[in-house]
Amino acid sequence: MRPLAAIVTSAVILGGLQLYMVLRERYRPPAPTFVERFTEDAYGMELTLTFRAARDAFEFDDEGPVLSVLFRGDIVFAADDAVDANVPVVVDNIPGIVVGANEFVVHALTGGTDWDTSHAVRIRLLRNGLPIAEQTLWSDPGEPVRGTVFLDVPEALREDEHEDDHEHENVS
Amino acid sequence: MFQRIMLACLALCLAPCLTGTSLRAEEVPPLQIVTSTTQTADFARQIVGDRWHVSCVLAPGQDPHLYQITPDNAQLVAAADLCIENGLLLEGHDWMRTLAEDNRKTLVTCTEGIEPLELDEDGTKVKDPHAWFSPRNAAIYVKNIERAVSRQDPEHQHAYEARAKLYLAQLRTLHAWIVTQCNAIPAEQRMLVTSHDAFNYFCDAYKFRSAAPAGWSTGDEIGAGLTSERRQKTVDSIRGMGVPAIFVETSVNPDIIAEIAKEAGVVVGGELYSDSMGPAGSAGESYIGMMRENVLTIVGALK
Repeated sequence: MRPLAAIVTSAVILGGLQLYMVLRERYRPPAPTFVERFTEDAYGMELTLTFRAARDAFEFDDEGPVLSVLFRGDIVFAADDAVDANVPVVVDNIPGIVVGANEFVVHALTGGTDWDTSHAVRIRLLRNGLPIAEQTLWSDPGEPVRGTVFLDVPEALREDEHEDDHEHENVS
Repeated sequence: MFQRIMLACLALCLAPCLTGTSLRAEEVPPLQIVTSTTQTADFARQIVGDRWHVSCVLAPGQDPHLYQITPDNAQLVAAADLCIENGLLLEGHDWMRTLAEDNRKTLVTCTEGIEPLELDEDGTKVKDPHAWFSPRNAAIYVKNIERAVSRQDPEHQHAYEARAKLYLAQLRTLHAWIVTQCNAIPAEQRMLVTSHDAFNYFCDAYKFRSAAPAGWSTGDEIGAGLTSERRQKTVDSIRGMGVPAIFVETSVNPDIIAEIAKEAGVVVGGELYSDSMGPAGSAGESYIGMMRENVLTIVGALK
């Protein structure tokens, strides 16, 4: 009698577990899908440095660009020669910009001689030549500027929306 | 039996001696570097340590612009595995290149890769060879030498790299220290008057103006040497700028600077190491020591 009871109990437990696994898969809520919405506008970037980007002479391995921007794993801008302070550097035609957050990796060498100064790079994203998003990346004192910035691209206004805006401006 | 035991003992006693002799015979003689100037010799020693034997053609205090090569120099270079020069014609009439080429030796030019300052000497554009006066350029010298010795002896490349990195860190500290020291001198008093135009890289790095009665070289090259116009211009500069002191150089005759100081009514602020480092045991026996001593002298006289 006892062996029979054990077998029945095991069968009930295993059957219940099996039933749970099947039903769980069936009633699992659908995974959210992210659709990247590429835009057809021309995007560019403007970089302005508070310092002269240059190689650190005292660094043993001083290969690589003095200023670079990566987007989606690709280098969209790289400067091998020194870049002057306060002179905007414009990068044209950045492909693959999506509506929403866009992540850029920015790296700039500071020459390695200002030990007590933090440096900054202002990054402005341009759509059809006009700035639409902006962020500033700061370094620790004496360190190169290195980090990621997320620039949020809003939905582009359609032509009729532009016209509506103008009408509103005229009325006011 | 006793004889056998004695022979065995003798053999045991002699064994280490014999082995030692054979090991010494297998030892490879160190590689030889011959450099032209005392500064490049110091950089080379910092990188190679005891693995190479470093010799310098110039003795401390000798002027590379005026140096005349001797048969001994040719013999020294003939035995070298690697030759090192400053370049940019610091070695008057390119004597180190001549020595290396005559003996078919590999020559490393330390100033390769620096951005040379251009001097306008009486309408002639001249590249200033005294690049080591900026520690940033000294770092380029070090990297050039490290690359060359690593090519020559790739087996010990990691050791050379490690030593070079260590020395670069020291040069960075030196640069930071010089900046801090020079900040004690008011901007309007940052004028460096020396025997010849050797300190332009130093002046450029630490925001000094410079003047010298002799041009970029003490020799007879174009745009070089002492002229009466340059002498008068230097006196006028000293008077016009209100400089409190001017400096003599260890490798140049100090008489002219003493005369100029008297004429301009200023004091001689001290002696600076310029084209050559100091002798062993002096404060300027190494590059870092030489730069430190120069800065202390300059800051003491000008602040």
